[in-house]
Amino acid sequence: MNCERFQMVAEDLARNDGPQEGNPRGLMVIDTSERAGALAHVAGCEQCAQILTAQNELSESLHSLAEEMQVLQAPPHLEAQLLAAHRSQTRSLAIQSSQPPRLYWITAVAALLLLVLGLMVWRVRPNSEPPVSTAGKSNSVLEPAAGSPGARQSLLVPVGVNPTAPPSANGAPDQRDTQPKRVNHKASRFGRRFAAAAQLAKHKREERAIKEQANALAANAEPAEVATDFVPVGYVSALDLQEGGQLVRVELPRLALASFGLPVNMDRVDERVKADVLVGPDGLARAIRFVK
Amino acid sequence: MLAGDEGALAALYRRRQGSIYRFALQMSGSPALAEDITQEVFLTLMGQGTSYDPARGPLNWFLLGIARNLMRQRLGRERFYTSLEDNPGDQSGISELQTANNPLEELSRNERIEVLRKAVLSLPTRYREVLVLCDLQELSYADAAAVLDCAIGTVRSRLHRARALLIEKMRPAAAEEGATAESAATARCFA
Repeated sequence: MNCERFQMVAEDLARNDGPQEGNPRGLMVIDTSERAGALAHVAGCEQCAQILTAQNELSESLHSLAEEMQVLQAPPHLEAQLLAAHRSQTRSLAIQSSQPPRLYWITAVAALLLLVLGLMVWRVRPNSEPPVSTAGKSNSVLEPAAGSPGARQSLLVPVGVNPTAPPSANGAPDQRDTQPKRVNHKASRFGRRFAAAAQLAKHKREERAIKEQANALAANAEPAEVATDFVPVGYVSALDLQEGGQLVRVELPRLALASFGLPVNMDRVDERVKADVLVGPDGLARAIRFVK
Repeated sequence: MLAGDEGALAALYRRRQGSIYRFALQMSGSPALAEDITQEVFLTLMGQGTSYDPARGPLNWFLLGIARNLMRQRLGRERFYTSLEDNPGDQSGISELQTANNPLEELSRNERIEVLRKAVLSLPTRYREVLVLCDLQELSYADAAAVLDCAIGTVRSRLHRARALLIEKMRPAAAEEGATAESAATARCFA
């Protein structure tokens, strides 16, 4: 063995960790032959002998220090504190485990209900129709609309309007607006019931809106007028009436009715009556009718 | 103990607290810190005891590993502070442990141990923990490697370096001690 190798095993020699009697925990880091070789080397090498001496002294000092500290123990109050902490921890764990998980279940059920409700609303909303236009509603009022048979009776037909004429393109009632759309029947049973209820409420709202609008139209409409036939003015021929002209609304004394052979209520002779005068292109009156 | 048996915890504490406390005291030199570490080790065992795997080694290794990790954390946190307990007269009760056969010899021995204790505390942490485990706790290389979670070769190399540093630190004290003994002998001669 040389000095370099000895310095590597000097600590093991000093720590007495080699396999030998009285040291059952021997680590076999230095075997018996190497140990014998190291001791033989020390006998002939003063420098390595000094190294081994220093290591031995250090091991002895460390052993003394370890022996002195061997009697040291943690103070007794530490055990009391630890056991108190253990008791409090055990108590808190027991309280936690004794509480039933009812609150968690309630929270979970509430969250599930909210989720289902949100899903229902989301599935019903795409089926809802856009708001019905005002024109469509007015036409549906003026025209005989399906589902509102009494609408015609409650309204007066204005003068010059043919009730039987076909509706114009703009005023054509859209049957898609008047007929309820079908609900998606792929929804669940609860969803279908919910959708049907929503559809019924929607129909009620539409009918209420239609009635309100009809009342508003009736209120805004001009009062119904009753007119006589046009009476030609005496100094024009019948052909002049074919030339057309402008219709001018005028007011005349009630006695003017007598000039055209119409009866006059003498009790209201002081009142004035309305008349429409057909004025020809030359500015002369061609015909007249009286309006009530 | 993990089931909440207080008696089991008390028994385990009484059996294991000594080595944990001494390890912490040898590593820090502070009784207060050693108490804290000891308490934290067992509190950790109460909270994370299920992470202990008996197949990986005895419980003492597990506890020493916890203590070592806690100690490194505390030493890393408190290295900027100066302990008021560095007063030599206030040291961990070690100086109280004296036997009285030969007072001079005992005094010399106590001084030597005191110097050694200071030298151990002055070692870098990675060398100190190996030295404490192998030479003061008297663990084998394999046990120390298991506690430190490193290879046996690492333990050996660190221990070699630690002992070399200790011998260097102890040499001036030994020379001073020798000089003191020599002067005392001379004084006795002249007397």
